Amino acid sequence: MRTFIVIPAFNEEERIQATVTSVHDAGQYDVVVVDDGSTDATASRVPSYAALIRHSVNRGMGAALVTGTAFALAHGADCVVHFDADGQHRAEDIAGLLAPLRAGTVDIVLGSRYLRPDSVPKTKKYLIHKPAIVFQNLLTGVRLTDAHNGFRAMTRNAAEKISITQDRMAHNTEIIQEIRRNKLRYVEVPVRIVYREYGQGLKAGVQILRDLIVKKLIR
Amino acid sequence: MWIQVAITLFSAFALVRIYAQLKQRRLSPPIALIWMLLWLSVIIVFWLPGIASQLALYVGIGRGADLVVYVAIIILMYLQYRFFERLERLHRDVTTLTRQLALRDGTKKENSSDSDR
Repeated sequence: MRTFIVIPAFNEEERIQATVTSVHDAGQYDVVVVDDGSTDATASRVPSYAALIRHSVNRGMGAALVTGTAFALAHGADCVVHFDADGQHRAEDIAGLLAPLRAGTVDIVLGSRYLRPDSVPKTKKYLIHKPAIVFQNLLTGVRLTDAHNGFRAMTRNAAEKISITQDRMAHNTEIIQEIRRNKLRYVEVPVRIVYREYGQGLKAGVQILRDLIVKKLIR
Repeated sequence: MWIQVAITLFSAFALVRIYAQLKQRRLSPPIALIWMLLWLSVIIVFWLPGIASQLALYVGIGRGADLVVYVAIIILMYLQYRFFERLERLHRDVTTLTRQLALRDGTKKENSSDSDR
């Protein structure tokens, strides 16, 4: 089964090399980095064994994931994994995400921080994540224990069906909506997220809400 | 009096521009007509405020000036929405274009990609 790990990267010159190397070392995966219009040296730090495609202007993480997924599908991917460039996701969790797909029991596997005890800082958990999860479950009708951690794996069939129109961070919620719309079989598996100082704060949450509302208003 | 002259001059300027854009086919005839009617009604309302007052009474609003303000706000809100919608569509188009370019160019390794910059 050919698995592509799609890594969108925007100004990640510090971490991209370590991230790609860790994924490459973790298994027999094809790696594709989508440089989303970085203004730093991200592109030149991508190891040569990874495929590199470039957005000439920054379009956002959702847009970069769509591009990377399209590339993977065009190159014969059986499975596609979405993986963060900034080192938040751990390459050793990829196998756990792929296992249910390999077993053929589900179409898409979502990483969840909350299936592991004490893996999230408390302020982040109760001020940002929990409200976001409740909102997402209400909006999508899919009951999940986590939202927006962005670590997921899907079959080719699921990747072809899921349509992402949100260029920025609201794509995470959109993917959940697509799971329901396409009646995809899904499961959550525990993953550990390594927290960085930056990451998404409240401002990003507001931006996601805005994007989702705009999508409802337009079209 | 001077405000009426000023508004008339400005409206005339707007009308000339609309006409020019229509001739250059940058505006479609129906849209140009709507804009022209809008600016003509601005001139009319400023010279003959009685018309606005009568219209206001007819639709149940106290003063002509209020009616003008209400209508103006509604038009502005609608235009704002249209711009917003167009901007979102433009964003999506740029993304599509960026994606097609990225996929068409395929994978580039560091040397060739640097020389592209």
